[in-house]
Amino acid sequence: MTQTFKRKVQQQLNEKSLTDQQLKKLQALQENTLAQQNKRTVDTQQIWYKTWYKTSAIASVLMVAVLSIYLMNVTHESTASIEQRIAEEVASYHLKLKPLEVTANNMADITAYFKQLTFAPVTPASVPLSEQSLLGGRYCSIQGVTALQLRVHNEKTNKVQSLYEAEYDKKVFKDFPKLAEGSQPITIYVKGLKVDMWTEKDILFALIE
Amino acid sequence: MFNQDDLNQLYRFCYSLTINEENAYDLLQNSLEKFLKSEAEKDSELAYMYKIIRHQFIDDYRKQIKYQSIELDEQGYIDFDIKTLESISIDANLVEKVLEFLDPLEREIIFYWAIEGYTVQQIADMLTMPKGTVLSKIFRMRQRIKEQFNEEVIPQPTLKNGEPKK
Repeated sequence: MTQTFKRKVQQQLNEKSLTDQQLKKLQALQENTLAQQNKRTVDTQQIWYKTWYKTSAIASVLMVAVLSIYLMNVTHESTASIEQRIAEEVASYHLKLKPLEVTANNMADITAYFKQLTFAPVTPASVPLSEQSLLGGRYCSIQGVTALQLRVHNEKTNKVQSLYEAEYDKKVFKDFPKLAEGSQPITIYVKGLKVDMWTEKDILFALIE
Repeated sequence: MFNQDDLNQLYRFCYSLTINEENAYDLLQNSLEKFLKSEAEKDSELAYMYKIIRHQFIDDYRKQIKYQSIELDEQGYIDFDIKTLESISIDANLVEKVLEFLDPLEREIIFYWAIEGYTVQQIADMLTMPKGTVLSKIFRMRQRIKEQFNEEVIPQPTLKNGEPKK
């Protein structure tokens, strides 16, 4: 009996099949491998979740801490008086001791250099500053208003003083005592420094010693 | 996961390569293990498994059995059509001997042709060979069968228009 080659090959090969035992073994191999892979996936997910959980917890604590500090600052800034805020600001400038932009021992040189100010730098009449002790000055800002920082050497105490001058803007600086009207400077202690603040000739002064 | 039918089909493929039931099972088991461990993306799991089996077979047997790849002049036999194989009549008792006589690559071609019903191009794709090379191998396979077995059961190759080749 003859048949087509193709048909016979089909019959020949289709007769071949796995025994029940072989089939069970191969199916078990697939199931076991799949189960192991699933377990590995679950383990990996658990590790990932644990890591994520820890990281999230740390991040949350940090965020709360940062937020707390920020809110404290904001609260402090919003509740602190303008005098307090100015005192803290100029005190920080004083402590940083940034390099002077110009060295000068007289106000004429200072006035000539600081041309971008909206006022003419002056020596406050109420404070006995000796021009001979003037060291120089640099630009700065007080509550966002362009200001001048003068550095002065106090011959009596042998200490360096900072005198700040800014155009007196009532919207920003509110009410400050005017020495011309017989008021006394506002004195605030910040970081161990004495800060005196007053207005004179429409200029806000702050002196740190 | 491969079901029972898939596993049996893969087993037949393994058998067509090894012509030995025990070796076919070992080949299938080893290949399945590799398949399950593989993390490669598979468009078709069955096609991917065929490739693994093929590579595994070559790895396992190439050192033991010299796996000959006879290169022929493809252009000289390009008019040979795989459909001519379908017209071959063969004695029912002879087919196993023919399969045993063929080399693994020829049996692989026979498997794709007879069991999977692939075209020459599909076979070429599976074997990652040019279509012309596959046709040459088919021609060579027919010639070898013709030389080894009774010429009466193997008709002459025909041209694409169906006329006997002169």
